[in-house]
Amino acid sequence: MREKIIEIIKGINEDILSYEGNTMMEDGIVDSFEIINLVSELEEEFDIEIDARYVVAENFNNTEGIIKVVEKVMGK
Amino acid sequence: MAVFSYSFFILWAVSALIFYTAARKYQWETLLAASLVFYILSMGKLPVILIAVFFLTYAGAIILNILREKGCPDKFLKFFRRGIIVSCVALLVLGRTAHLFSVLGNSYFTLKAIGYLIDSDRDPKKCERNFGRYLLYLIYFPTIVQGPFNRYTQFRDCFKDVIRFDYTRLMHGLQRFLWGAFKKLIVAERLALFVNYVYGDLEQFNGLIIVMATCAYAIQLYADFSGYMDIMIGVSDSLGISIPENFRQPYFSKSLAEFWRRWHITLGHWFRDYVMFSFVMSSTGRKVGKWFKKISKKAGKKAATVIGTAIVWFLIGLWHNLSVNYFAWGMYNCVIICFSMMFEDHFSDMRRKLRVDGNGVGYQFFCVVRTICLVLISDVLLIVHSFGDINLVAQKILTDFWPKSGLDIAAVGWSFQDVKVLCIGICIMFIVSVMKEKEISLLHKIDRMPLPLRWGVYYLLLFSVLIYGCYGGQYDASQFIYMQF
Repeated sequence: MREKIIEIIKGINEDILSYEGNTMMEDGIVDSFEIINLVSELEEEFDIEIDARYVVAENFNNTEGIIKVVEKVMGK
Repeated sequence: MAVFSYSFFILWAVSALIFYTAARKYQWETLLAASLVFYILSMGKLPVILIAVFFLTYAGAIILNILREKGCPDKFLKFFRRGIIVSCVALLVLGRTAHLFSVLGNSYFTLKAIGYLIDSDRDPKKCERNFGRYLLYLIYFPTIVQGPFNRYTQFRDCFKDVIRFDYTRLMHGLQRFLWGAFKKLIVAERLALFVNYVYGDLEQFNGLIIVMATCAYAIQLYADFSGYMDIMIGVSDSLGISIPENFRQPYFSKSLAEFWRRWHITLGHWFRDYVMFSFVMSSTGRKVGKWFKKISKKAGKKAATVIGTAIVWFLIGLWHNLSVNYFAWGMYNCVIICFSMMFEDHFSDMRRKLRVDGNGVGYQFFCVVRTICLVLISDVLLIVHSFGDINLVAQKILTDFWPKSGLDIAAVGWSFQDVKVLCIGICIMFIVSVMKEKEISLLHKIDRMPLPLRWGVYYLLLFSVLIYGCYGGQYDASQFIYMQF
């Protein structure tokens, strides 16, 4: 799963993968359109529905944060 | 209470002194008292709307959490939450339209309160039971007048431990304050004279002067608003409380969307998190996406985002002012941003076909200039008094561009010295912006200077503001443009 998520992130914005901080959205690494695209791709790939409550800056803070959100939604 | 007034300086100094000495165990209480004093002295009447929004969201968040714990159905909770949000928005509109109910910082504390309610409903750990702490969050004096929109948890975490006096932080705070005063009193106030002079009687000026006045307005707005942010970040820093940055060199943006990610950052984040994402991830947003997917996969992906952007810009326009100008301004930004988003792939194809290097310096420079031009057009929508004036501006630029005589600077209200000070002030602002863009921390550079040189910089900044700042007389430096929102 991890590899698939990384692959999806790579397709949306490679800078996310090299980002080492904790405030990816606030630091302007990724914009809101890319976040929406990312969520839509993740939902399609894993057949899940990510609620708006998870799509916040503190969750989508870096690659690990994104992976955690998917795991949380999938109930792992 | 004006920022550049004795009462503000006394309030700031006294609260800082008590905060770090006598009341170290009661730090948030001290700031609450200072904020109440600031609010009461600024308002002079009972802030009915503030009280109503405060109780609605404070009690509402607690009730929502209790109901959720007791297993209340989601549908009812959603209905209850939406009821509170609609009531808050209705109060905001009432405050903005009925003079009797107008309150200081209405647009700011209402959005902060709605954000808090949504956050605490999403995560019970974010719900605050202590009403004093929550009230402080809403009316914290460095943020009440013009923002920024800080989040409750970030604010609450500042008080986790006793905030100890930090000399370096205090000096950084004072420097930020002086830098903000420099932008406001030396640059923005002088430019305001020129902008008001030209836009006060457009008929008598040629296109070139109108374009110059529009450029001046763009710099004035930036110096005014970002100057106020520097001042308040400085005040808050001196009290050991971090509040978020609201600007990141917006005039270096390569697209209009990027410009708005760098201008009034925290407002953009608020609308992104609570409107844009909420809409796109909602059942309605998903239905829109699915419907457009039937046409094409790409359209499906972009449709909800485009509609979400349109909603956000419609609301941002109205949030600034319930007027036709701001509605038009919001729609102008919306159309350009949505258009560039929808045709992004076509533009990339076009660049490839024309063999234009998207990463080349020339193209990047073109993008910056293009963005500035788009922003200048949007600024015209904000300054003009009527739609007839827009027509007049366009007509003057297209048919009557070159002036027949020079600008009479005395009529503007400037002396030759004012022009010199203004040019130097704008140059300094530009150099500082370039350094920030290159991630060079000026504050840390000053910190590392030898003591005499460091204090030389402090005094230079202080005396340039005291000597060349615009005070009293015909100037009204107490008013900041964004205060009207």
